[in-house]
Amino acid sequence: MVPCGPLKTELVLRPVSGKALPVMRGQVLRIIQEEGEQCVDFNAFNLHDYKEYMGVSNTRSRNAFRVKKGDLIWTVSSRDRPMYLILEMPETCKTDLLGGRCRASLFDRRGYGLHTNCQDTLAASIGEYDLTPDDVHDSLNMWMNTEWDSIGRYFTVRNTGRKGDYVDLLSVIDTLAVPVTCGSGDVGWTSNFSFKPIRIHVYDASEETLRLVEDVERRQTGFKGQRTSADFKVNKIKADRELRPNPNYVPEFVNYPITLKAVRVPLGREELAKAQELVARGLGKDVGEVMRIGVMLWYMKNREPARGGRFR
Amino acid sequence: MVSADRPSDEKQTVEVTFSQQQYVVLEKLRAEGQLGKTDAEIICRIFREFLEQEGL
Repeated sequence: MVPCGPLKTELVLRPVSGKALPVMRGQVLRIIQEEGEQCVDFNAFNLHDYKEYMGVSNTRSRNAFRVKKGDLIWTVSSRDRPMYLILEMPETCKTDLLGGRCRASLFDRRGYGLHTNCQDTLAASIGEYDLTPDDVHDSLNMWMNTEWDSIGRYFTVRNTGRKGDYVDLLSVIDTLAVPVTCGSGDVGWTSNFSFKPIRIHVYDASEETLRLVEDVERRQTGFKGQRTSADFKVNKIKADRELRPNPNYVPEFVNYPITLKAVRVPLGREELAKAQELVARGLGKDVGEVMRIGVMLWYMKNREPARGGRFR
Repeated sequence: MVSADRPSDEKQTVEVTFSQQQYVVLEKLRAEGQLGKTDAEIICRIFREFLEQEGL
């Protein structure tokens, strides 16, 4: 276990509330099951630029449908930076990166009228920082035990969280972290048909946590595409709501247009026969395509640096 | 595609096309110098290794 600095903030989130709180680079956010079996929805933003927020699909594509201890949580694809390192996460904390967040209409359709829901709880929490309900984004859901079948149907099963379970998130950048107790708790297996409180701790940075952050930065930053808003061709945040085209706008697509370079490769009889066999098997539509695919597959297998969602 | 010209050593010339983004890989490997000096040599060598790794 990585030693953190002293406890800086402690609070209890009663059902069905949440709190937006700064968690700075090197600090650790601890989310604790006060009684157990309570789903926690989580949003997060770059504290200095709210348009950079937690990228749930980016995190999913870099890790898996569930994240676990040792995984990195990433910001949205437009920025693509590591945001948190999951320092601690028990097996009983099933995570979900598919469900987004529950919202009021979901429950009204089911006959409950206006029911508590994470969209509204998150919106109420981030309002303290002048963010709007439209700024709520898909959640990283913790202690949300969802499953899916072979044709992609998605469903929730019993919450496995135990009293005292906790998750530690090490902040890699300055963040506004927004944990909330899930509002669907009393009408499904998400929290086993009842609401429970969640305890929140924020620990100061320590030498060890800062060393870990520096290690993440060294390995996972500095790549093309890890941009700030200053790198954007259009970087002013639009203030009005109506969308109108800019007649003077000229898009700049990356590496556009794609050009092709042909290489003439002498091939022996035996290799040609094998390439033709691969064409027959469907790897490509002709020998040239099979060779191109072969070269790229070889590179991916033998030389491509690790794609790296997982950190430790 | 397989071209009609057939050198005396029974080799056939195959044209392999790469996008400029795929070609970055060949440039890198050429700079390393371990797999050959020319694009054709490198592609040939890699394709042979690929076949071997695929058990063909």
